[in-house]
Amino acid sequence: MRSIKILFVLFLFAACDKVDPIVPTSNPLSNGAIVLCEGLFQQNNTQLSFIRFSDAQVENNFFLNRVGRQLGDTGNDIKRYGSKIYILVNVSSTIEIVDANDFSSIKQINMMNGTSAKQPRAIVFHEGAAFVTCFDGYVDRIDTATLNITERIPVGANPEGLAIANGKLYVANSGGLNSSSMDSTVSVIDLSTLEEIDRVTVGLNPGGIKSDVNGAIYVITRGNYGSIPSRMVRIESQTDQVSEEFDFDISSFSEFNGHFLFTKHNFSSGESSVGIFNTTTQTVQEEAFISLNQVQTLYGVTYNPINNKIYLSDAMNYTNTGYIHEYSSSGLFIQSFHVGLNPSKLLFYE
Amino acid sequence: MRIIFVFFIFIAAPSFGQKPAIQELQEINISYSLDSISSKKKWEEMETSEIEALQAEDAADLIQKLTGTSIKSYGGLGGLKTVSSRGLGAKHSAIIADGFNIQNTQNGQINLGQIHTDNITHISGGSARKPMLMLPVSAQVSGSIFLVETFENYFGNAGLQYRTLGKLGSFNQKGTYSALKFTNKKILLCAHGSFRNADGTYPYTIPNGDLTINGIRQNNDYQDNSFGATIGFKGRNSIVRMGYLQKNFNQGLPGAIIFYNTFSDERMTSGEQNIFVDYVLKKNKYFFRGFLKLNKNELLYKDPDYLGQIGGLQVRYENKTLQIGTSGGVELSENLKIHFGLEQVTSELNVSDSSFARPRRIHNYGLIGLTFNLKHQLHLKAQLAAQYITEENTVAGGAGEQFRLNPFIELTTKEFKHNLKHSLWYRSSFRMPTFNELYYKNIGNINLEPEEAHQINYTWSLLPIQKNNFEMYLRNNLYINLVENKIVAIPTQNLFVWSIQNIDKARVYGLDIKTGMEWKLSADWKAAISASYSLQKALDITDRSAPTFRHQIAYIPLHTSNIDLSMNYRGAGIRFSNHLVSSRYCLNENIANNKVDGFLISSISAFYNLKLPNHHSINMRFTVKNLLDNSYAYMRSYVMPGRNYLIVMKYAFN
Repeated sequence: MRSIKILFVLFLFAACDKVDPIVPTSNPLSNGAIVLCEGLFQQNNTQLSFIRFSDAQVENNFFLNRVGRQLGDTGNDIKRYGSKIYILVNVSSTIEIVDANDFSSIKQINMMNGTSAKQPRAIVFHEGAAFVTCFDGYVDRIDTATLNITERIPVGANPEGLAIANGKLYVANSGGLNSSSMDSTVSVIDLSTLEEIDRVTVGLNPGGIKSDVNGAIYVITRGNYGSIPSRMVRIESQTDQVSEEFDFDISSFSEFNGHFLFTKHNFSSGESSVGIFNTTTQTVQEEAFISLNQVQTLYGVTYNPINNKIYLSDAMNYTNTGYIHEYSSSGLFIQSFHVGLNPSKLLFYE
Repeated sequence: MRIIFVFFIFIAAPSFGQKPAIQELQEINISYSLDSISSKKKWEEMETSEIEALQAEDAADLIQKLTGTSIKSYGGLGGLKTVSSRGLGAKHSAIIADGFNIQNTQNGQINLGQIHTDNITHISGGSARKPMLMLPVSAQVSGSIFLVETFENYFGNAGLQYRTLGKLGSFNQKGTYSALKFTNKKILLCAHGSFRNADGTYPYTIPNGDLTINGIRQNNDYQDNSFGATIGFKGRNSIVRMGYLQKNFNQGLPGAIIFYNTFSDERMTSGEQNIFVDYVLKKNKYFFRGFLKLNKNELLYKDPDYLGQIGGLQVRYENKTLQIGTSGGVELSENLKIHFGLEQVTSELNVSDSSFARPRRIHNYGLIGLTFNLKHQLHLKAQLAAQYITEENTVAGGAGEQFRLNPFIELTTKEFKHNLKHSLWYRSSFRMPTFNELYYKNIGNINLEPEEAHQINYTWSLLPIQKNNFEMYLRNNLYINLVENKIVAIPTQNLFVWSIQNIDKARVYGLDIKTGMEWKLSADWKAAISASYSLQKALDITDRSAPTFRHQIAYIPLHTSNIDLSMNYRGAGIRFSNHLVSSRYCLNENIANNKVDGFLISSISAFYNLKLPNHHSINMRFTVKNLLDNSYAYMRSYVMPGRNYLIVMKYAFN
């Protein structure tokens, strides 16, 4: 009878798994990076990987291991403010707040508006408040002390990235869920009154948005992924006017010693590159700063000012687990880390 | 991401006899599945008594009992259920109901959850079959076929016949079916209708790390109804049938169980109308069939919470298909017969969204084949199919023309000693990209090529052995399949904007074993056992350098098995049915994070047939499904119901 039971169990679960060994990371967390691996829609498989720089080990399923449950479906952003880390999970419509030192769960904010999911996308912080873009056309303000939502600020359709400059919050309204009528604007919110004071037309399907050291705002307009190319425009935060449209392809960007590292990825050819945009001269300083021999599908770039290294996210074919590739600040390849599915954002520890 | 979800919504018997196919048409009351099957024990098929004993809710419940099949079920009454055979993918499977393909050019797959079983008298199929010469060519050239026959469209017993049943089940399920049929030597008249309703709110449990989440499946209600009529005339050598069938569906779409956000209020209302004319002539050494079918599918999808438009999303799709064709054959000599087929299927799609494509496809089929008795007790069957497809899109560019030649060849031995028989065949087939794959907004790709399949099969059979009161059979298949240009959806622009690509290649190694035994214990008692096992090693061989090279393809189980036991006493009986599916992966990368657990589903049903005077009878059945109350899922995040019950009472006259 025992042998029959064993056979039955073997039958049900027969499959060859490749299980990454878990390398437990000790507290407090230090000298490493947390990688937000977005997972895939309807798979409930968003996860975090922790890269330990000291011995180049990776602990996958980091959130599950620390909190004891899954993050949910389609993670979108991760950022630290003070002693807390905020993780935005889009399809699950939650914000997970964890302790930055030991990664224990502090609170899960359920981002529902009645029965409708708000679908949080990106987060920034300003003077004790977190501002979260929600795909339902609002920016939610969260008090970082009480972790309660204190305000809902209406903006354009399906807002994505946000940035702060000159006492104002700039929100990229993508309208990306309506492909036949996408949005083209950036909402400007006065942070003292929490009201939208202007809406600047920048180009089709704005997504990523950043400010530079001089307070200028840069927005990536992603076009229609076809005939209308992806471009970058600059908004002057003093006037809230578009001062320049840059005529080069760009998919994403990251701060890099006062300038920007930017990626471009051609979805038709699959070709990618990483360049440097000089915010002082307002020109492309280098078109192909890093050799991408190790990268199959470039999915993002992040500069780590703590160790002065550059990290590229590699989504492979989007359905296989990805890699983070590490480069020196001069663009030389150092090593790769095998992480979860569709790695996008990184958060660094000293 | 709703765009993707909408897309996925749209987006499921061999011969051992010696009688030549044409001769088997002498009985002009044609069953399309019988033209190559001997009168001996049949294999991958189920008749009325077995279908009734299984108490299947839909065709998927029956088809998963056939070896080599894999069901993808998204759960619930009427929920999307598709079938794939031997790792080929659901869109390689043709579902043939009463001699006609069930068509859906828009998404290329048939929702088996919407095919109720109350009228099904016979079901069979899979990849391992021989050419069935009466079928439309479009069915004959598909990678696998599943044949469904209903009570309504065949002559059957002479005189007036009546069937009516009512059912009650868990999740507030109610259903009824009625059919009135009159036949004599020359005329068939039948009218029928059905209704099903369920609120579908079943409890579930799903693990989430160290937690177990208990929930209630919401927005899973389902209603359908159907009605139709058939009229037929039988001549000395021919039959002509004409019929109309309409089905209407209204259902909630619960979607995946998303952690921390389980609310869903999406809905789908759909319907189909069919008109068919079918003519069959058998005279001397000739047979001929001419047929026509008009089909219109309508679908209305609503998502009130879609964040892309004020007021939500509402899209209406209308897919029309005209199928017209002929098939025929002639016996040229005792050792040589030839057959042919011609068919044209015209499909077009209209969508309420003006920016969506307006595609129109004309798919032409031609087929010629022969059956030849060779020396040394060997039979040769060979056929060559040609297909030419043109396509236009009135909104923008359309997919180009396609031309394909697909051969089939089979070598079969006659029965040797001890009822042994061998068969070896090769089949080449392909499936066209669907309208959704070609044109769906932001996702479709008009440059897609057809997905090609090559199958090699070896069958070793021990034909039924009867000894005293004991009968048994055994059959084994070994096969190798190669699928090229596999059409898959992958994210491209970002995780929310996917695209359809011809990128994958798969090789499938498989084994099917099926056996059955039956004992007549006494004049009143009978016991039976049937068991089947399928091994499907379906490997991704797209790219040697990829991490998924030689990994098992997503959602194809390595092992599946069915074990059924039954005991009958006169008109009463009990059947214990078990379906086992081994663990699978939700993505092609075979890692622990992608694993979907295997499951065992056991059901038990008891039934009693009460025969009344003057050809009246009453049949009562009671079934407990998922007896062990297991929490299981065919697809990740789509948990199936726990233990549930169904009671059916059926009245029949004649």
